[in-house]
Amino acid sequence: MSETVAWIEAVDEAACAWAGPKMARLGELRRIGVCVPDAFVVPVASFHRFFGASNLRNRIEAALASVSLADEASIAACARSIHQWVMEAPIDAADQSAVEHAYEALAVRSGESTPRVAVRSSATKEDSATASFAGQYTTVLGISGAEAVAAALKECWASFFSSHALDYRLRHAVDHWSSPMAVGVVVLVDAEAAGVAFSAHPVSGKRDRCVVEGSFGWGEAVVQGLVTPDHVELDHANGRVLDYTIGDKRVLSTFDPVVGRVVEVDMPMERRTQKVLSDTAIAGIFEALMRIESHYGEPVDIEWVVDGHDGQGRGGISVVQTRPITTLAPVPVPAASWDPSSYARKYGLTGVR
Amino acid sequence: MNTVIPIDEFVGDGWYPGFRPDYMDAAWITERAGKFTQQDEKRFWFIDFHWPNGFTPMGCIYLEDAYSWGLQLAARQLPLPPGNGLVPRIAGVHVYGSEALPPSGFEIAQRAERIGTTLPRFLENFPSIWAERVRELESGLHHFESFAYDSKPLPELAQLLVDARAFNKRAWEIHFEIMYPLLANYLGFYGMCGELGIPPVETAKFLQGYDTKMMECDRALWSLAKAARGTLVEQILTESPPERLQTALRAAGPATQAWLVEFDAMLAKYGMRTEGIADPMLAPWCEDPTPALGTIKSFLGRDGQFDFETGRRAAGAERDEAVERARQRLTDGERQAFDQALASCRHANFPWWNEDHNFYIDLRATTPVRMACLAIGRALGLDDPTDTLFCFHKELVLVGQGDLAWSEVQPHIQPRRDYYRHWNDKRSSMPKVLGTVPETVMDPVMIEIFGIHKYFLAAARLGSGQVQQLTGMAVSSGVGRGRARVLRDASLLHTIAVGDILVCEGTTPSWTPAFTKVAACVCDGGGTLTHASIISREYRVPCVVGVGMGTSAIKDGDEIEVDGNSGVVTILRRVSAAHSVEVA
Repeated sequence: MSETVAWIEAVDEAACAWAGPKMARLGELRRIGVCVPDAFVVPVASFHRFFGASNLRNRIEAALASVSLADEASIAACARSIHQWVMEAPIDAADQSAVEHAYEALAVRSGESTPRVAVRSSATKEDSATASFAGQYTTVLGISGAEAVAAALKECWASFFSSHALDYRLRHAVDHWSSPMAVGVVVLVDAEAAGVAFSAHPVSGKRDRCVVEGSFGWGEAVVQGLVTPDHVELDHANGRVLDYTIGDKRVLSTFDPVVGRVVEVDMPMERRTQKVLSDTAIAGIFEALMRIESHYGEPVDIEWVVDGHDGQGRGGISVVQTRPITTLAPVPVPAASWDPSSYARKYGLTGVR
Repeated sequence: MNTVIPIDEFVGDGWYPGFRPDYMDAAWITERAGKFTQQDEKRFWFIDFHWPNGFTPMGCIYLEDAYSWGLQLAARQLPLPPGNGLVPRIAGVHVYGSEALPPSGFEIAQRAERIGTTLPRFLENFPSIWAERVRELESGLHHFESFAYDSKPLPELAQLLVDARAFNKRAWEIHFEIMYPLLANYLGFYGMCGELGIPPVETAKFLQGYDTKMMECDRALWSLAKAARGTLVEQILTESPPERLQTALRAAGPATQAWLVEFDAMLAKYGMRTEGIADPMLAPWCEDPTPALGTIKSFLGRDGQFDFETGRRAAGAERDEAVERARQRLTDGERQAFDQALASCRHANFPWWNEDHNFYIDLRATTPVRMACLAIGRALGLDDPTDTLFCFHKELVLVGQGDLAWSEVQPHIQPRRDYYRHWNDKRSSMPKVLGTVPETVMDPVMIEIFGIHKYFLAAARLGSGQVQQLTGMAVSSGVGRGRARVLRDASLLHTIAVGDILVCEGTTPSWTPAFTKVAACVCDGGGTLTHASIISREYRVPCVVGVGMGTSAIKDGDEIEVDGNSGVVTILRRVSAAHSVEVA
């Protein structure tokens, strides 16, 4: 249990309770040899210190007491107030300084003076929430500088009391403080391309094929469903490409130096229907996917990035997130094997054509 | 609420004059053939497109021997777990089929177990089983085809007629004995390909392009057309009406002599086949070569645009490409299952057999019955020996045996001819379906051959009316646009122009030459394995089958579009409409 900021190499699966599953698994991936970006974790202890100070927790509880589930507007208003209080409240001085020092160390470790980072929520029970809720907490992409990181940290904490999160916890009678949030500060990989991958077919449930979806730039446009990504299906047994369908990618997640964040813009015309993934990149994604699936012993999904500046020439694959696939049919769909009479009984004699 | 199409008109009809119930008392397996009764209205009946002219009394042996014996027997023998095959009813002279009454739950369970051993065994041995059956069929055919019919006494001819029927019955036993297991296997393969995410239009290509006896026969006509090109034969073929071709060619003297020698050699080999299926009314080519000459003529009409060999090679190449495309998209594990299934279906290839067998059974096995009938007619000294075809089989046997005087039968002949003509003329207005339209049907022959699938049933519920669009099964890919030629039978095939779209109830092998000319094909009935589906893939013509009401909704001359990818048929412009309808 870390009371203060911890480096990624100090985090593994066992750190779930204080680093949140998202960051715990990222540490675990690093431990098993998967390439992940450099990162540190602001633990749940900091979260507790933040809300415990300045009477913040009491004010929030008082505000929540007057909220009615039936009244959406009251929830939204409460969430707005909490957001404002969070953004105005000071971070515990020791935590503030630990985060600033860690960011400076990250600069040294990455060899850049002000590395761009992603500040990601890593709530301790986020994964066990229903599919409609997962991924609702904030991620801030592409900021740089210690001050901006501290502000993004508060953005993440504030998202813990977003109207959506409040509504969910009230509806399911979940105690607000029982699933506190850690936050990861992760070096932003300079994404040539990014996307998701599944070690089983997420729709058919077939365990014998993997699916990769991706687009140019950062993965936000893919994850948020803003583009029709390239869709690749692979043989789970050996990674052979079974199908590569090029998508029409109309939106590009790219770094905007003026705003200082990753933003969504129109994809340049010539890149819209261009093929995103080389065979090398596909092979890299497949390798990471298999390593992670075999480590966890169950189908997983990942978010991957093709690093545009990996130093070894282009095409290095980094994994920025992984989860078990929770929506798969529990019993694997049996793979086809030819038996004429059972297929004849199934299809020849049923009247369903 | 169920849609019911009333059958009263056919229940009340008196049928062929002079019919006696004991004329149709052959043994049956599950349900006997017969006329409609009022109770039949509760069941679902579809018109059988294989017989666009209906049956004469003699033709009715098919109902007893093929439907109520061969087909029902095969359903029990395979066995089909949930089905007992089909049962026929006759409305006027036209045949409707329905599912025979199903087995009990107990029997279904027993059969499901049995098929687990019978089907794999049959599939494994299919090539030798079929070779054995072909030998049997050929030796039987040889017996009747080389028989010296004339100058035989009547009782001997009566026995010959009994034998010819027995042979025909056996041929249809074989027909369904082979058809059900091949069909069941193919449907299983189809289903598996569906599980593997292969589009049905692709799956349909996997077994095409293998040479059949029917193609061999078509090729013989094709090479006769090639030999005729640029000669006097071509001139005669082009200029004379079909029915006068033979006389004109034979009268032309030495210039056509060499070609006629080749033509006669073709007839010696293939001349016992007819243009339609199992109907003693149809003369074989050797009796009347008009259809063969007509086909040669239509091949000549293509100006060399269509080449048989190239077409077949293209179908084979398309097959191999489709298989490779599909395999590429399968995992190694899936490939293993797919390869096994494909090998099994190639070893026991339904689409191939479904063409090949026509030469031995559908187009030929009934010819001996006709020959025996005509021989009896001649022995009786009839002005028109085809009068015997208007006798029921048992009736004519009695006449031949001397147990029934021709003078007692003779008065019925003209009324029966009139009855046949009357109902024959009504064919195009006959309901496509009768009785109670169900949600779904079970029998695979009914679904895949007659095309009683969901689209057909939906069309049956709607009726034809002023529809602009019909949906059926897309069985051969591509899109064709053109003028609709709505044809009832193959006799008007020579009127089809290059680029027309063939619209019909369904096709039989005699329609095949049309597929070298048409831009697309639409059938009321039919599934993926109907003749039209198989042939359109071989000839790579877009085709949609089982649209239900095509021949009523589409008028001859309408401009239509056939989408062989989606299964949609659109009427773009009505031929007679005062205002044309443009559909985007």
